[in-house]
Amino acid sequence: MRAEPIRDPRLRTVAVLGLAFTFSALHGAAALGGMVSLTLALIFLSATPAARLLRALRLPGLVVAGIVAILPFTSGDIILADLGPVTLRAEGLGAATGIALRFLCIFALITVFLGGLPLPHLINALRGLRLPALLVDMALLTLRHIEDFRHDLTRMQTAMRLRGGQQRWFGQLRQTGWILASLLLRSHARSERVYHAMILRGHGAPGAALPEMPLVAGSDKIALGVLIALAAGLLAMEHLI
Amino acid sequence: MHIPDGILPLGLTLGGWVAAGGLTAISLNRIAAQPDPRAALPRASMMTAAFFAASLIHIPIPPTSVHLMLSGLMGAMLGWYAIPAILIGLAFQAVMFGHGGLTTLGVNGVILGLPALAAFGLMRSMGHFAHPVMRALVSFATGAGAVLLAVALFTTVLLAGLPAHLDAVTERAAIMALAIAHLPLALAEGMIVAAVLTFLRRTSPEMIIAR
Repeated sequence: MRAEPIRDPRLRTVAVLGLAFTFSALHGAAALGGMVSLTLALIFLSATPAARLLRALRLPGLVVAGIVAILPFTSGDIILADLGPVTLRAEGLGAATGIALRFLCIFALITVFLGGLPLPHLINALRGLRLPALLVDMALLTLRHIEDFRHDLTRMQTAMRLRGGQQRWFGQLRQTGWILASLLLRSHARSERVYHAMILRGHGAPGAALPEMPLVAGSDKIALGVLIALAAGLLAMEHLI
Repeated sequence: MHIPDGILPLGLTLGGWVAAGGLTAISLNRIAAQPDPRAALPRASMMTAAFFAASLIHIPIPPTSVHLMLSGLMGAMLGWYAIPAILIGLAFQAVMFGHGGLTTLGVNGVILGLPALAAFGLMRSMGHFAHPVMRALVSFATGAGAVLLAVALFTTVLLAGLPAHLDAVTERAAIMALAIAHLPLALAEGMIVAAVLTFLRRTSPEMIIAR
């Protein structure tokens, strides 16, 4: 059973941002250890399945993997090992370890706090945190278009392949441009229709009622307070130890 | 072209959020000054969805394929709306795919947002040529230039923010490698943006804000 550390989406957003920025300030071994412990505790408390974390990790790790693979061999003066054509250096190895740990922990935080949250709830939470109305509306409309856009794109690419005719490189680029332009044209007409239908239903009209934000539960406030205290503890550890 | 969490120091990530916040505030001000500030909202949302889904559009660059960046096209089609659109697209990518990051959302927004504004400026100042070849060249420069500017910003921020010091030779090699690796993408995206804008000029010119 999943026991969320914080239920309210607004406080979750505040918590994930606060912890992520705190984590990005940590470099010392003790503070990094505390960061990993706190992340593991949050994963355990939220009962996030390891498979879900690993599945989510597949895509974004490329830049980090590149840096972590290169830094230990290119940065620093203290040589730890001579491995033939390359030398393993202490400073680079330390920096690469820090980057990998911070990346993994912040990634896990996002998955724990926001991974299970439906995006419309997250956008409403941002409205509750006083994000400008234009941005909120744009985000909600975007969400509505994403699936349509993906679907149309896949269909047009399939249709283009079925019509055959292998193009050379330049021809393929031009063809991609035309697919994209046709897709934008079609999506534009649909987005205008959707938006005007929303306006006709009273969206954005003066005095129109916005979705009500529920009151924040006391337990959520306490949980956020505990997380902020732990984050402050990590920062103190970074500077004192 | 997305910097993930965990690499940049706190000062840079916070600075990125402040810079992105400033750019967004300027953009919202400019949008609010328009006769109907919400008129372009459907188009901006549709382009944000396209920016989000750009990772699904693979373009062949032998021996591999890459995906589009689209910030030049966003600038040409959305103008000031491009900044909020890019930030929303990046936030969705970070939350849904883990692509990019939360602490680096501001930095990534600036890396892709400034080239979009530069593309907007270029199209507005030079996109009015009557000759179709000249217009296609400006459109090409809009797409390719935005990629190159984004690569330059990405490389600068990444090298400035790495927690370990790289020697000058390694740093030069990294810059060269990134530039050479992205040159084919810049050319390909330039051609695609030129094709898109030429198509839209003929069929639906009102969709290009900086026409």
